[in-house]
Amino acid sequence: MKQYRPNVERQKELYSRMKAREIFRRMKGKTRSPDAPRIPDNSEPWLPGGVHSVADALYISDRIKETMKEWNLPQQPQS
Amino acid sequence: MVLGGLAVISHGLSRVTHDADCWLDPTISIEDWCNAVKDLLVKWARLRLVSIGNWSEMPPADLAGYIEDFGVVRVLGATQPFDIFRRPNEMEVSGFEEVWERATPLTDGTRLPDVVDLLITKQDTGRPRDTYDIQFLEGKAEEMYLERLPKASSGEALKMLERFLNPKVAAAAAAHSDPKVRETGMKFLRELADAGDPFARDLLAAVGGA
Repeated sequence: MKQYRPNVERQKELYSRMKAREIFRRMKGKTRSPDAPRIPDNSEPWLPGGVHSVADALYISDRIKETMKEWNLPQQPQS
Repeated sequence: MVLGGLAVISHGLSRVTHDADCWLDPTISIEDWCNAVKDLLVKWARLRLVSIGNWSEMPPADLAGYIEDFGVVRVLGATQPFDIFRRPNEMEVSGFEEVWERATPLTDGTRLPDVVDLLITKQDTGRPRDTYDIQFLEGKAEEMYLERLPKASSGEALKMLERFLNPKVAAAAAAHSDPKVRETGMKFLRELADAGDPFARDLLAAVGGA
């Protein structure tokens, strides 16, 4: 049976990578002041105000399917 | 230069993206850069500029001030939303030429940044959804480094380690034939292990540095 949850060793490695990125950034002299301007998140919400109904969720699902078709990506398995 | 989700997909991650991101050559003056963006609006009248975050329409005259502060602007009206960066996350305007030289030319005149440069643009964004892109890109960079590093000369290896270093790469460096490369890898692993990282501690023990 496929293991979907990362095992402890993998979690340790991911944690180590995260710490390594922090240390490497510090070594490169890259520290961010909390006041420094940050590039705003460019994720535009699918629907202003979020999802409020099943119809809203289906609308988003349909847009994703359209995009996948447009980019010729394989369809995700239906659940 | 292609950035963001499209660039990550081009490197092999199967995921969807809603918008297209690009880094428009910032080595020209900000005035010329803004004029290049404004030319697009003249050429295709249905395009319009939108400020990212509050998604309100922006008069083209405000572009220079906005781009100085935020480094990116959104263009709407094309088939996909289009984000044009002058200064991508973690990148400097002055670093464009170097990133361009390392990038892969595509058939349409754009370029695809190499894995390490793309990884840098994804780091420290403060966006949880970038975690998957980071995991994928770091895995690719690691694979590439583990393959190349043992065969690299001292100079090449040290240059590689200046751009990217993670625990397994540090362990590979610690086993290199050159003492300077070995010391770089050991020092990095020791710093991680001293910070209480059990994975790095195991790697350090495996390369005889514990």
